[in-house]
This record gives sequence, structure tokens and C-alpha cells, in this order.
Amino acid sequence: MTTTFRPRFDDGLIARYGGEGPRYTSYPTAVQFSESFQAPDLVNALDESNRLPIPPDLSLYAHVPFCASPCFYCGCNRVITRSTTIGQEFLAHLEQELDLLVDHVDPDRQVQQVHLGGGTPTFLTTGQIGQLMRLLKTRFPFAETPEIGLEIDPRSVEPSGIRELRELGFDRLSVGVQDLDPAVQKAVNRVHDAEQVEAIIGAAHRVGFRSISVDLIYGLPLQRPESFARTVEAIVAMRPGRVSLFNYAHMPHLFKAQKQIRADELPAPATKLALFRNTVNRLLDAGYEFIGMDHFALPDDDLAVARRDGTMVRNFQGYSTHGGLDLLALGPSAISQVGDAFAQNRRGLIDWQAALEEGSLPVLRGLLRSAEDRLRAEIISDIMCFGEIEYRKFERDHEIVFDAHFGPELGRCEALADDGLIEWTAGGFRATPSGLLFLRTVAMAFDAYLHEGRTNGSRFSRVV
Amino acid sequence: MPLCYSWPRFFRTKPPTVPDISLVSDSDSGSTTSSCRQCGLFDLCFAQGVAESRRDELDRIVRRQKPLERENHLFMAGQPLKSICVIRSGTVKSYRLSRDGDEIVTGFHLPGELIGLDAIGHERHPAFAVALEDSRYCEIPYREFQRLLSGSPDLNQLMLKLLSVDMAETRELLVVIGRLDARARVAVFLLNLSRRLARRGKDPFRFRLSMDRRDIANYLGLTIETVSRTLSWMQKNGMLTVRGKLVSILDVDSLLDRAGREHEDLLLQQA
Repeated sequence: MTTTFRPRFDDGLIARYGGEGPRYTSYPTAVQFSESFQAPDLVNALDESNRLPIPPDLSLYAHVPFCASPCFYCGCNRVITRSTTIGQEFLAHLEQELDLLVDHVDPDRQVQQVHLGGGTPTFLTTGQIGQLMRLLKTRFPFAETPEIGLEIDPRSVEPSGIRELRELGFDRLSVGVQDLDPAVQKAVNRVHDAEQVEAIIGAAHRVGFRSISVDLIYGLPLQRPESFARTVEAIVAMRPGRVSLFNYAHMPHLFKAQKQIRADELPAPATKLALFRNTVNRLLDAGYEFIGMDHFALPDDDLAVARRDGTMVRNFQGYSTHGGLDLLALGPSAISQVGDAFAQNRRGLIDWQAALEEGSLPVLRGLLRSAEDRLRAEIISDIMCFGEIEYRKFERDHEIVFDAHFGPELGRCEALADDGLIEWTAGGFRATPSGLLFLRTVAMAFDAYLHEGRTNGSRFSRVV
Repeated sequence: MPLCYSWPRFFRTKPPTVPDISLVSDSDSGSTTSSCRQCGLFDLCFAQGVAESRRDELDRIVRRQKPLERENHLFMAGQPLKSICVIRSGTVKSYRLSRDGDEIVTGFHLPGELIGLDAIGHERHPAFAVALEDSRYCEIPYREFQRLLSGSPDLNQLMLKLLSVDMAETRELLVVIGRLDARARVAVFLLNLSRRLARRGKDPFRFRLSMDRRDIANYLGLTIETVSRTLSWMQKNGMLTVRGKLVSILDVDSLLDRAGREHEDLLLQQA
């Protein structure tokens, strides 16, 4: 698991396997969540964790659902508003949610990670973000060197704000750049210039942020290989530790904002593939390592180190340096993972507030994993993180005989091996360089729910 | 159900349920085991020590019970002694209640171990016994057992030996635990558990802790934070790994050093 990957593009495989697939930020995926799972089930899961010989430490996530204006590509849960009082109201409700949760968490469990996502976390003023951090710190003990990060909209933060965030303890940030081309920015209603991004990243480097990540999106309207190459070149010159290259999934039937995007302006499939291929090759040539799926990192970034060390995991925040934490999520639509339980909050801001005002945890739905689910989740995580499976590890930990337990799954792998996505090893299999782009496809072979035929329709984005 | 105790009103949880032993017969024990000799636990059970000539008699009086679900009680403190029990599978915790109604954990019992011996003195159970996970057990009705004892010097000797060993171990553990620092207490606890598992033919170096950290802390007289911190420390120092409830002991020697070599007799598997 210590080798570095270099994916290879194979047009035949892309045509064959480039279809839809879950992103496996959890297994089972959120599609399986059920409303029979409610707040008391989350409380039970928290108590089970408290009782373990060494209860897991904590990762806190807060979903700040507000945006000042809609980006047309966005499929996230958010509220478009210019209200200046709504942030303060939100913090008051977040405090109520924290107080309801903290009663069920033994006080010796330390916070190792904090992440603010959205929406736009920086919709909140720096003062309000500071207030939010104080809310967390007065309720949970923090580890000595926790990872504290947030997502940044370059339009909403001044370089001076970056220093203030660092002073509040933040040491990781993720900048949503998407594309620097003015025509594309206009078409998706997210206009900012390269200098703003450069100033923010420059400031973050100077004040000692430990990890800086940039999000790019390919497949946006009016994107052309030449113009997107200029964006990538500008980003590579700024040297962020991580780059994510997301695939724009045009699903206007699911996400209302996407109706604003003109379908006739979207790049043709061949163009889209060229955008992806060129960008991947450029990032690899510029010294970035392939992390998995659509993530890249410089060799000295914590995530690249974690992947090489075999400690990287996949969770609701994507790829992460830390495994074995209970993830407590706050805010509308946020998903917690506690032991074997997944719990998603009510999605609407009003519904979420209503539950809190009644004094109950705002759980909408969730799922309690079975031992079989957990086994498959570990296999899928290894595939997504390392592109590699060693049977012995699962045979020992789960007391199974891999061949006997996974007959149909290994049959599916046989077909993937015939097509050159994976190759067999002494005690397992691993993705080939061409297969690295299809980790989701390989993982799907072990998804029991997918093959039960319970999931249908186009709920998942395309693999490539 | 003959009960002559009252559930303490200050107790914070729901009153536990006691299995109605009088209604359970051998036929619905849920097991194909019809005699002690065919029982999978025979080699580990005290019954093995009973002379060949007496085993049939023992077989006749032993009652194999329905499975006891997690959090259900085998017996309550204050109940008159009706039977002695042998755990067949699972884990049982014994505890008492303080005057304030706080639980005081007095021991954990593994398959093959006898419980209820401490009730013989006053013919009344001094402690509660509750299943920590779904467990199975056999009952030996005390009156019939006494009759068997009176006709069998072998069995008398065996019982005396068992009682003496139990008493010595308990006493030594109490002394040891009371005088040691946290790391040593946790080391003693794990090594003792490991040895008892080995005696029962189980893997002594890789086992699930069926008791939660509150029980362990209570039993060892430590706070829950200290129990977890100590286990983390041992993990960091390569003595063991803890994954969920699963403990893997990697370095017995270091643990033994931590526990104190002078307690080796108590902690290591005897030949």
C-alpha cells in the first residue's frame, strides 16, 4: 500500500465502465437510510460508544447552510439569503443541538477534527465563526493538535480574514475555485478573479495553514480544454497541497438551481473526458499524487502521507487522514456516524429548527450497520483508499473464509479482471493503472444493496 | 417466584427480571446435551472432578437452563439460595449495591465457572448476578447437591478445594488490586482474564471484552477515564491493541512487568 499510483486512460474501459456509481462516502450508502431510525437510535449508538474500553475520539462537522447567491451547478443543501440576522439565529439553534448531543458523550472523549462545510461557512462573520468555535470548545475537550478546517468561497473572504481564521485555530482550508474562466464563471453564477484566489492561498501559506485544498469542477457549461488548462496552470502555480477535480453531474430534475444551466452549453462527452484526462495528467506531471477517485495531493501533504501509510479512510467528508473517530454532525442535512450508526439530520432549515425548539435531536433518518455491512464497508473503504484488498486481513478480523463468503462478488471481480481493471495478487487483488479511475466500479462488486436491486434510477453521478 | 428481598427504591434502573427456574425442565433446555459427559464444557467444568461413580447422580440433578438474555439476572442479592450455577456460555457479572444504591462490581464469571458459592454460608445470595451478554448456564439445586455431597467424600474434597481456590484468588486479587497503581491494576485484570480463558481452551491473547469500561472501572476502583487512558497507553507502548471490544495482547512480558512479577502465580497459566 506504499506505492504511488499513476492512473492510465483507456478509452475502451471508459466507454464501458464510465457509468453511474455511488461515491461510497459511506457503506451502506445514504440511499439505504430509513426513517425507522430516529433520535433514540442515535442516543443508543452514542451510549454504546461511551461504553467501549477505549471510546473513539470525535470529529465534529457543522453544516452552515447559507449562501449569498446560488451557484447554478450546486447540488448541496443550502438556503440562499442576504439576511444579516439569520447567522446569529443559526448559532443559537446550533448551540441547542450541541447541548442535546453533549449529554450523551462521555467527557473524556477528545475532539481530533473539526470541519465547517456548507453552504458557505464564511457566510458567517469571522466573529460568528469564533463564537461557533467557542461553543464547541466549551462543550468538548479538544486534543492538543486537532485538525480544524473549513470551506471557503473566495468571494466571501479577504486575505486579512485568513489570518483571523488561523488565530481562531483553523489550520486547513478548502477553496471552492471551480474554474477561473470568466465566461464559465458567469454561466454558473460564481464570478471571482484569479487574484482573489491567489491572495487567499498566499495568505494561508504565510500564516501557517497546514493544508490548503482547491476544488475544481470539470464538465461545467462553456468549458473548453484550452481555457480549463489555463485554470489548472494557475492553480498548480499556487501550489495548494490538495486538488479535488469534481465531475459536474447535470441532474436538473433533482437540483433546482441546475435548471439555470443551459444544456446546450455543456461540453460534449468527448470534451469532458479530455478536460478530465488533461487535468489529471497535468497534476501528476506537476508532482501531485493520485489519492483516489478525483483527489490529488502533494507528496508531503498529510493526506498523501496517510495514503502511503495505509491509515487513510473514506467518510462523509471524502478522503480523510483519520480513521476510528465518531463523527458528530450538526446543522440541517448533516450526517453523523457513531459506531455502526449513521444518522442524518432533517434537511430543511425550518424543520431542523423546529425539532431543536421541541428539545429533541433533529434526526430525520439513518441506519444501523449489521456485522455484514461493516465487513463490506471495510472492504469498500480499502478499495476506495488503496485500490487493493488483502483477504487475510478480513478473514482474521471477521472470522470468514473470503472465497466462500464472497462467491458472487469474486465472480464479478473475475469479469473486472478479464477487462483489465484489477489484477489478482497472492492473497487478494489490486486495481491496475487503468482500473484506478474505476475504484467505484470495483467497490460496487461488494455492494450487497446494489445487487439486491433495491436501488434504482439515476441517483448516482458518473464514475468518469 | 419465591422472593424475599425488595428491590431498592433508590435503584436507578428498571427492576431486573429473574428467570422462572421452576418452569424450566431439561427437555426445553434448547440444547442437545443430555449429560454432563457429552457437554462441550465438560473438560473445563467442575463436574469433571467428580468421581466417575458419582457422575450419573450429578447428571440427574443438573438442570440445563434456557438462554439468559443480556441484562437479565441469574439471581438477586437477598434471595435464598436455591441453586448453584455453572456458566456454559457468555459472561455473568456479580455486583452488590452500596447504601446509596450505587453498584459495586465484585466479579466477572466465565464459562465453566461456578457462581453462587458465596451464598452457601448464610443460604442467601449476598450479590446480584446479571448476564453481560446472552449466556447459558446449568443449575445444580442446592438441596439435592447437599444430599450428593453427604454421600461422597470425593465430591466434598473437590468442593472444598474449589472454594479454597476461589477464596484465595479473590483475596489475592483484592489485595493486589487495592495496592497497585492504575496501570498495574489494568494489567492484572487483563492477565487474569487471559489466564482464565486459556484454562478454558480459548485464545488467551485475543478476546472480546464483554464488560464495558464502566464495569471494568468499577471493579478495579478506577475512573472510566483512567481505564481508557491506561489501555491507550498500553496500546501506544505495543503491549496490546484494542479495536472496539476486541483486545489483542501482543506482549505478555511487558504486561507482567507492569502487573508486578511477584503476582506471576496468580496471573500466568499454571502447568
